[in-house]
Amino acid sequence: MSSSSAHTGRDKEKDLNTHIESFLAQMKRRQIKGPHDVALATAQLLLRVVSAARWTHIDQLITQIKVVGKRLQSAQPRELTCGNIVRRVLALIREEAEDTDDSESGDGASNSLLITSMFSLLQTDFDKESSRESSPGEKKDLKPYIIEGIQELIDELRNSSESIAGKSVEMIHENETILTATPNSNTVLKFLLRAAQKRKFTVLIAEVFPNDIEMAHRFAMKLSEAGIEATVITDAMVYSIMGRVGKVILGTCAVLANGGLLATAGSEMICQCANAHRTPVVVCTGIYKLSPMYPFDTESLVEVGDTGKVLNFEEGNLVEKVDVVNPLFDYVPPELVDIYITNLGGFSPSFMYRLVLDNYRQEDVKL
Amino acid sequence: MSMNARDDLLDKRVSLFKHLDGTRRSGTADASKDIHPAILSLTLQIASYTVIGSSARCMATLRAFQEVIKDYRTPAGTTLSRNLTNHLSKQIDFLKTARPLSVTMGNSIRWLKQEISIVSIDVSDQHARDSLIEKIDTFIRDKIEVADRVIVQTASPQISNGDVVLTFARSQVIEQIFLEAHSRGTQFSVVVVDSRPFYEGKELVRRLSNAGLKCEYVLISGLSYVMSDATTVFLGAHAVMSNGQLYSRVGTALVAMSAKRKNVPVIVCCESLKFSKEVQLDSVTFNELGCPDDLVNISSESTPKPGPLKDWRTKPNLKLLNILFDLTPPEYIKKIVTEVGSLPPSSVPVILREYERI
Repeated sequence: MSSSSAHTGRDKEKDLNTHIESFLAQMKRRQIKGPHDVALATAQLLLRVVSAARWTHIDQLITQIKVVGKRLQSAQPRELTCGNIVRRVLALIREEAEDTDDSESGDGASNSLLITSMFSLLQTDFDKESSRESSPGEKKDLKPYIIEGIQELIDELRNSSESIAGKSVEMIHENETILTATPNSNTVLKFLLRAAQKRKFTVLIAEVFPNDIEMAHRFAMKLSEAGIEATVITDAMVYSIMGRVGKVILGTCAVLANGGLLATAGSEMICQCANAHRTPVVVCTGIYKLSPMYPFDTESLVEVGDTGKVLNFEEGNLVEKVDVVNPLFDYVPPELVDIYITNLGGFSPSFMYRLVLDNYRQEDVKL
Repeated sequence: MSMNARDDLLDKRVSLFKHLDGTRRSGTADASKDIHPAILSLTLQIASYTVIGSSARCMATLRAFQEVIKDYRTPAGTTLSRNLTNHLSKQIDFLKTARPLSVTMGNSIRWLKQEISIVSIDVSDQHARDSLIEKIDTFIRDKIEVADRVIVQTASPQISNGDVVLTFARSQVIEQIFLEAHSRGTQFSVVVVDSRPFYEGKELVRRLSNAGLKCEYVLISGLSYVMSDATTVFLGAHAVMSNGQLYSRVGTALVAMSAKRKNVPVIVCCESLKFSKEVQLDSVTFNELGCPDDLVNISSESTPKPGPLKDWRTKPNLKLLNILFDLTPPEYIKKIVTEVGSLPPSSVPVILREYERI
């Protein structure tokens, strides 16, 4: 009886390991890509990890998630959302654990917490962890609560672009000209389509050649089918037309704690251009893309892609002699962004660090 | 009525640019017999962008005018100084159906007409023709060829060892500056930023790398990535407006703006023939429309690959916009190098006035 249960336990672990391995492989091969899909896949995988996990103390679960999270993130270090979701789950577990700690120890504990709060400033994290370890073992099973929490997170991921779209009418007025340069963003597409139900406006779409051009053309098709006047322009034309643009609306791959962001290549020059013309820049993003990282080294955040798309290999002679560069992303500093529209509402870039503190725990920033 | 509404939906002109004429000549079947064959062939070459670039178009036009003048015979009852101008105007009107005249073409036509008008009625036709042809030769030599050489001599020493110079698209004079600096033994590398649909920078990078220069090639979407390495930006011009605005290949303004933000000096190199008396404030009021169908291609290969927009003309609400030029404000430009010296953009009208008298 006992041996068979140990056997199924090992089976479960093996099963989980294959799931993790397949996730890692898919990340590396870019079969899962784009912040939304990566976030969703990470959350679903962590749900499995938590379901399969066994722990006697909550710290064991946290360590376990951290170990898995580190592996997941290193599969594709530039997909910051993967790490974000891991940190969100960790924060969730910690919160559940603290809630039960509080309710178990009752009012007396919170009183003593008040008294010692000044003293605890001087305590290190290590002391806190060890003190918790020495506290009596857990009585309440946290698993269902944590699983419920992750499921709520998954729901949030699924609904985030819908709730962002809900704010579109407040952002776009009748007869406005909008410029967008992130055709890979589903969030922006939904945002514009929702606004089109109530407003009539024109959208200029920068083609983002060579990496996203096909997507840009499809993006324009979808807008025009919804009755929005869509005009495709080349990337070079942005400056000449910016004076006639009411707002620039961009999607993003990741938002950083300083309020800066990573988006498709060309975004920085477009935001600079908007800034030069005093045109507001609106960035639509789900809160799951907000990363607790600071961009100390912006160059390492930018990934470079296939140079064959820039200079075709037919031109072999030229390719041999010339360095060809095809950056995939741009880092846009916070001073070029006017407002972030998130599923939690609109925020100015200078406020983003607060949202980081709300969503993540300081001790999880480094996985 | 419903027909009208449908036409509106399928009107493929972008409303902001409806004042510009985007039609291009594709053949010469309807040409009048007065049009000289040299003009016919030049018109087609310009329309197909085989002859491209402000100086190149200007030179080719002047050369064609030499042919026109050579074959010109003054009809009875009139004089050369009166009739040749008329005859040339017809050629020019035809040339305009290919593309709007460049500022250099406009300036040199104005000069040529002035020269024709002062031809004395006493000289023989043959003599007048010969002297006009010779004057055109001198004009090309002074205003373009020698001017370019002077600009190259002034600008190339401004590249020093270890520099990373950045340029956009292709300008002949910029190319000569880089080659000259290279032949002087300066160790530097060039970043060529390019854009669709002309890919003019590709030709520049080919010529520079063949000469042994170290080159980097990037499309304009990757501009921010390369701008941080640049030490100087060299730009060519189509024209410089009298209020100091630089009118050049679309994308130039982005490059200049980006450079200014990163504190990289922007140097514009052009002949004073490109200075225009006109003033202009934005790129919308005056510009040139390219063929929107050029943007349907989604591949960088030599054989075009039409993407999802191949049937865009039948789809309502969908437009493609292809304009050829943009306007760079003078505050992004550190100096303009011309054959009459280096000057700030604010001095363009000064030069125009000084040289008007000569």
